[in-house]
Amino acid sequence: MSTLLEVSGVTTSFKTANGFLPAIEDVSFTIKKGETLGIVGESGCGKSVTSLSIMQLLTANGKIERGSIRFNGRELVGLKDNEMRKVRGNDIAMIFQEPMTSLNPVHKIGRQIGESLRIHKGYGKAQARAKAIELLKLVGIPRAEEIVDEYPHRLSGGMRQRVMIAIAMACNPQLLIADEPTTALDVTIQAQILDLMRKLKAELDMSIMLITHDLGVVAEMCDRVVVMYAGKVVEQGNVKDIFRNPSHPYTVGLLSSIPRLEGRQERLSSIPGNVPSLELMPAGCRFASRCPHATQRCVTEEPSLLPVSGEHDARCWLMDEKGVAV
Amino acid sequence: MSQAMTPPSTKLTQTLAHPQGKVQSKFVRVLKAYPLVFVGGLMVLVLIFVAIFADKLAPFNPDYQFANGLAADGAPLAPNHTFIMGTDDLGRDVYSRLLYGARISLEVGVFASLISLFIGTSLGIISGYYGKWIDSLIMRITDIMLAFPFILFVVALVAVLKPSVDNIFLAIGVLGWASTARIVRAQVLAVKEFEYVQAARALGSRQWRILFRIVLPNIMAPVIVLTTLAIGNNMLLESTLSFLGIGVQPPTPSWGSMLAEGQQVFEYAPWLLYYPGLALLFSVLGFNLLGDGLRELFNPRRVR
Repeated sequence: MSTLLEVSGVTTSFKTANGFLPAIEDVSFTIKKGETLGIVGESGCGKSVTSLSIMQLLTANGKIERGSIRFNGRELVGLKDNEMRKVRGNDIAMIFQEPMTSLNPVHKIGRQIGESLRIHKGYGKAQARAKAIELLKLVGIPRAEEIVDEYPHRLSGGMRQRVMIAIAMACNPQLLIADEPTTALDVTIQAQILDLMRKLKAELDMSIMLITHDLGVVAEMCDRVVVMYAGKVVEQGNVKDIFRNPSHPYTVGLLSSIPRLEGRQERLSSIPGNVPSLELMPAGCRFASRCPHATQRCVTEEPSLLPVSGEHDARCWLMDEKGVAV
Repeated sequence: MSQAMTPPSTKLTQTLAHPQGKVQSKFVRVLKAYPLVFVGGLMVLVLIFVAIFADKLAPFNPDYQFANGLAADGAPLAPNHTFIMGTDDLGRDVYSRLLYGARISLEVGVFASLISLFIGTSLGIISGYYGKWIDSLIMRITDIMLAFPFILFVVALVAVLKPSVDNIFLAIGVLGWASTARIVRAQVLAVKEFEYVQAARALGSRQWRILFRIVLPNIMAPVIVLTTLAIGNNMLLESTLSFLGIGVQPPTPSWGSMLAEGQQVFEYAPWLLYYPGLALLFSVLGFNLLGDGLRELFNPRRVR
């Protein structure tokens, strides 16, 4: 499999009252063609900033300070806006968390699906509408010929997320960035949407970057996982490796805070404490203050990504003293 | 659901909603829920009709001074068979002047409001969408505009431009955009945070496409309401200016100048105040009812 997206050493900062502060630091990962990469972490760990950096949709007070983002070998960082616009929606498409507010309430469904076709492919009105109906059928919306002329408020959350996916699929992108696509949906609908994404990925031969905090979704969907904490990648590797042999204490904490159905009901374990704020990033390991295994070294010195096995890395000093069971 | 299922199920819901089997049209439903829109709308339509067909409806030339239009002592004639609203102190037919006056009022009201709408919406969108220093600049100018006594401002500008119908609506329009700009800015600030704006950017839409096709349609409802109300206000303002003598110049008939002329003789010819006053009341009330009704209609919180 060849590499589709290569993110290396990306640092994105935001302007605050205390100067520029990095929201993500030195983030590197790759997505291969046809692969689904999960990006996991709690709120505020930089998952969304990572995806917005790739799309270069950061707000005016944010900027990519260092690093490179290569898509099919082409550097995206520093690309002029009108060049970047041709990439957005065409090569890389995005779906968002809130299907209720992601659709424009004043335009018909068909027009919104046709929008990117008209922008990127120069489709005419009738042509775009016909393609919109086709796309609605592709994402499994019944009565596509009628729905195409409806306004978004007539649709349920699950239906709207299907429409969002149809919009994203319109130009046949090579990469779909899904930012918590199922968080706002109820469980049965979640399963349907995930099934749909899996089906489309196979049919259209695209890669997916799935941002989520739901490890259940990761286990179900992803080939590889990147775990982020406080703006840094703390562990990455194949799904199986991560689930069978979680090596960073944070990943271990995340996995043990999933409620389980089998076995005796115990109090759900949680990770004590909070993510350090941008202003007060510790010098050493960012997880040290919450880590049950923290040593003096963890507080003063920050570990780099250290190999666990094969393509499995973790940013933890425990890896240095191999064999320590976490 | 298969497609074959759809027609009967639609019919079923309709039958359930209307047990008598009478299916109300959307028009009738809106009419019942928002009667104000229709009362106001009807009044406005009457006004527009009168303004357009003033030359067909008026029995006489509005500027003609009838030899038989004054009493022997030179006093205006009370309403009678020939002059159904009487004559003024120059022997002109009040009814004809009133109909022609509708043209001036409506022209000034509509054009002034459209100019304000255009300027206010443009500035409001720029201010709200781009933010930063341009936002501060525009909003401070808006504050200044709102701090000035509006009528004095308009009077000064009209005096510089020389009073005429065109200059009046120009002056009112060019000076009256401040509240529109503020409301538009507030709306834009709210709308631009919605994910569909972000989604449009993620699709590769250009800046102008986002502004005009995504943001603008979503802020139109309050702007339409505001503009409707502004038309009524601006008609009133035109009358004020004409009443003060710096509006429409004689002999062109305007409700404001008719009131000004009638004021001097109202003790023995009160109809010279009644009719233009009532016409003004009717027009402004019409636009205000329509505006309020539209506000209700567009209010998303109201249960339909």
